Amino acid sequence: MRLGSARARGPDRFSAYDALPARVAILDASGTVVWANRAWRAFRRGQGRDTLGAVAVGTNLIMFSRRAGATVPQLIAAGVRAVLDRHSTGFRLDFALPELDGCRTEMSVTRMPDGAPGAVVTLSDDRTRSGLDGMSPRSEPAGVAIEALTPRELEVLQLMARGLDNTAIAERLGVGYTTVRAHVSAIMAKLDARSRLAAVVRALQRGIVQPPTGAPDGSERDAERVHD
Amino acid sequence: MTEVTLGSSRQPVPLPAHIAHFYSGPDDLGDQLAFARSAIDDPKEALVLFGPRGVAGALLRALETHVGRDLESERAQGRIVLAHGDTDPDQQLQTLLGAIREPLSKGFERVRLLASVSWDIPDWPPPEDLLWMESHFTDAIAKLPVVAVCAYDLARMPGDALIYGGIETHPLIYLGGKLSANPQFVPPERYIASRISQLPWLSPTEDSRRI
Repeated sequence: MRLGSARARGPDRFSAYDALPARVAILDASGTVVWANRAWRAFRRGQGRDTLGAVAVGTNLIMFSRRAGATVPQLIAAGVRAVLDRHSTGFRLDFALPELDGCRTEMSVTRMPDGAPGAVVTLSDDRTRSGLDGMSPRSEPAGVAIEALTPRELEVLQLMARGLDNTAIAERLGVGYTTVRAHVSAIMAKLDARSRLAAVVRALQRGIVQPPTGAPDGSERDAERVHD
Repeated sequence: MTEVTLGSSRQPVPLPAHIAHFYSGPDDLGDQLAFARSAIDDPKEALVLFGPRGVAGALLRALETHVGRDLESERAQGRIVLAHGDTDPDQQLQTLLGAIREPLSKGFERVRLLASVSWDIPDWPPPEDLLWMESHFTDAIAKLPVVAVCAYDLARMPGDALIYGGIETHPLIYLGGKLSANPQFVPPERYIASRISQLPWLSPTEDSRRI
């Protein structure tokens, strides 16, 4: 979905958002919510407070935190939720909001049209996500067949997916560092990936390797939560 | 526990430390230069300057201007090491570790690393590989007496770099002269095992999920 016509002014400009089940709000440069769709307004009425707690919008950065009145360092310490620089068109974050009982929530942030300072923020969770246009995942092209990778490359790829660097892979497989580098290059070429991590992600998406289940070194260190 | 101060900030930093420093453009290098100068002023310390090709040299020239003299003798002694990045993130990691170990092998007790981070440029790891390297770096220096400051330019770098690189891969944040623990830090095992595969630009649904 695109923003309302840049020529339109006033509330009509964003009317296309009004019927969406996802919560959509328009923030100005001060971080004030200047317009919100019905879902956002209903949610705020139910909660009795700002969904995001505190928002700071600048010419360069947009930050979200639950601590009101915080300075930039405090915002980071308190938990920056998003950063949108002046060159970016938008981004998404996936995190849990306590207001939603910990439900995983996706927040999309898009710059205002016409270069106006501020942002459009969309919050959706699993219950409302299906209401957004164009949200169905694209199917991944078939790409390389698993047979194209040699058994050794598959071993290396599985260890890459566990996060090991070349030195660790070489130790694990009992081969030289340069041998591993050659395998990694071959894997990237066969998966048509420009980077090491893109190769891993493509392999995971195509089921060529299994998602890692533990820490890369095999230990059982507790992973901290990413957000909240 | 060995501690150092960052430079302009007198806050103690336990070694090793992996810190993201946010600054705003080329006119805002004061904290970085103060951090680097502390290594020049302490005979037990050495300095590694790192960045894309040519950037370490530019940092050295800025530092020379800052201290008011050339630092050629320090370079000759191995107290100042210049190094540059590589497209291969694993090679970049090895280069960094080698540059840190070099002055330690010459008897210096501590190393300050000032790394100028860039994003999606030639001769530099692709974004997701840079993040892989940043995340690995925390563990890689776990037994080294180094305080590493990775400088992220708020005025120039895209939001993805600041969020996923600056904020999520560093245990500490240095901003506005203040050092803070970073609650958004994702531990390496979590980052590498799961977080990095969910980077939005690697997702097949990225385009369709834009508003």
